[in-house]
Formats: sequence, C-alpha cells, structure tokens
Amino acid sequence: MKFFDRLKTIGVDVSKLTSINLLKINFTIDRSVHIDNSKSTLEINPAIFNGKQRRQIKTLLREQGLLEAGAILDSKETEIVDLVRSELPALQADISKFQAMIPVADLALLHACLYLRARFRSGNHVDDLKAEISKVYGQRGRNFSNLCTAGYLEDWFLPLYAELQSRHPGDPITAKSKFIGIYNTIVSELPWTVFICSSTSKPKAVSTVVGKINRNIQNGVRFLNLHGLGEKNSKKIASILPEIQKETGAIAAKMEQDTTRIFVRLEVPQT
Amino acid sequence: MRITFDESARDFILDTFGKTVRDGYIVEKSDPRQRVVTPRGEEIPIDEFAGIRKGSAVFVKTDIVSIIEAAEAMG
Repeated sequence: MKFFDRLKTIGVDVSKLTSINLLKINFTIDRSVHIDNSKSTLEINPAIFNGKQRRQIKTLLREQGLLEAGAILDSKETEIVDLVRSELPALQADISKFQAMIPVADLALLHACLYLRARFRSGNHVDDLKAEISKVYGQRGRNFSNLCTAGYLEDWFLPLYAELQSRHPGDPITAKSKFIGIYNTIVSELPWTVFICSSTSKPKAVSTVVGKINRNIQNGVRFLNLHGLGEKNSKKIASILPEIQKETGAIAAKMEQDTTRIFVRLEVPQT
Repeated sequence: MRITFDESARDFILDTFGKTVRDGYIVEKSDPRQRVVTPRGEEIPIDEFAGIRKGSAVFVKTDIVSIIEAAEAMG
C-alpha cells in the first residue's frame, strides 16, 4: 500500500490533498493537518492525533517513509541538501572516474571534496566546507581536499593507478594494494607538496617549505610543489618565494598564477 | 516524496527510531548509556543532528560529508 494510502488508513485527513511531494512534521501548527496543493505539501502535527495514531505514524515513517524519501531531515538542512542535490549530477562523471582507486573508507571524503572543488570552481568561498571536512577527517581530510582542488586526482593519482595496473596485468589486487600504500602516504603526509592556507603566517610558511625541501633532499627528492588557493594565499606565496629560494637554493622550475590560485614547482639543482 | 521535521518534532523523530537524548548526545532509548554513532564512529551531539537516512536508519550529522550522503540517499 502506498504511503499516501496508509496515511488515510491511520485517519489522517488527506481527502483534500491531490498528491504528496513533501511531508512536514511540525508540533507547532494549530491543526492536525495543513494541506498546500500548489506544492503538494502535507504538514501534520502528531500531537493532535491520539496515542494509537501517533504510534501508527511512527511505524509508517520507520517502515515506509524513510525508504521512500531516502532520508528524513531537519527542515533547516533543506537549503544545503537542495544545493548538493543540484550539484551531484555534474559530479557523477568524476566520482565514477576515481572511485575504483579510492579506498572504500575514503569514498565519502572523495564525494565531499569533489563537491567542494565544484563550489570553488564556481567562484564560491569554501573555507567553511573545508573546515567541516577537516572536522570529520582531520588533517588527512584537509590534505585530500587540497589535493583534489589542486588537480592531483587527475594529474597524479589516476596515472599512478593506471601505471600500477599495467605493471601487474591480471593482478588488480596487488596493483590496488601498492597504490593504496602510496596513496596513504601522500594523503597523510603530503611529502612532495605544501598547501599554504590563509591561517599560515609568512614565517611559518617559509619554515614549513624550507623544512620539507631539506627533508626531501635527504631522501633523494629534489623538488616540492607549492600551492595556494585564493588571492590572499597567492600573494603570500609570491612574497615568500625569494626567501625560500635563498635558504634552499631552489629555483622556480614552473609557475602558474592567476587571481584564484598559484602553483610553483620548486627544484633544487644538484650541487 | 520528501519528509522533513522542524525543531519541535525532533524528539518525536528520535523516538520513532528508538532514540532519545542524554547529556546532549543522541542515545539508544533502550540503553541510554549507549551513544548512537555515525558510520564513521562519531557520536552525535543533539545540536549536530540533521536527520536519518536509509540504510539501516543511519543518523545524519550537519557536516557536509554527512549531508552529501543523505542527498545521495534521496536519489
């Protein structure tokens, strides 16, 4: 029996409702039922039904409502949920492209970071989104969102995944296992990359970059990619480059800059 | 079809799924010492409760990661 029909059997008077797209549950309305046919909306106040009816409404929500709606959400979240749902179809191609290589435990992180990237590319501020992702996943989440926004999923992880698969033909489990090992190191430690964020002071940024370059040199790696998103961070990186180069001997082998981002590949020549 | 609830109906929704609130966190009604957690193991302060999504009645927090999962569950 349809949700709509089961409401009728409980005794909810929906005789004037032609169809239902939205059910609102609200204890502050004055009557048991409000109907808005222009929006196919039914608003009910369970407090005005008797105890048996309330129990039946709960059962209906639990057994059928949740399945049919997919979620039962606080009305305060409606705006953000609608925004996300409008963006999701455009993200689907990227989700499909990356999901095979990303560990299952990070798939929700991938979806969130692709959403953040889409918002950033549309010119929106994403600091709040990044903070929420960091709150859930910690520094690893912040790193992943930075890597995603800077294009590392396409430019680095995907080619690496393809390369490992081609090296292990017929053995996708080994290929994936090797990939995950490298992936985890990069996402957790960002060994070859520094993202300068707005809360990082210039002295701190210099010390982080110089420290990482020196550590990389000890490990035989003579480059570091420097990223900044947003005008403020772009200017900050441009202003600290001379000091970094002076302290490490690095040269800016590649530099891309516009009003929204900066990328600098620093390389330290062999002496 | 969509289903929403406003703040006045929050306890009703929690009760519908056998939960209640103790010390500011969502807990099992049958065992209030047992806090409800998300699939990532996070406890849920009541002021971060955004709702419930399908899939064994998963509790949703207000962060963007959880909201995206809920939006995907809505199809």
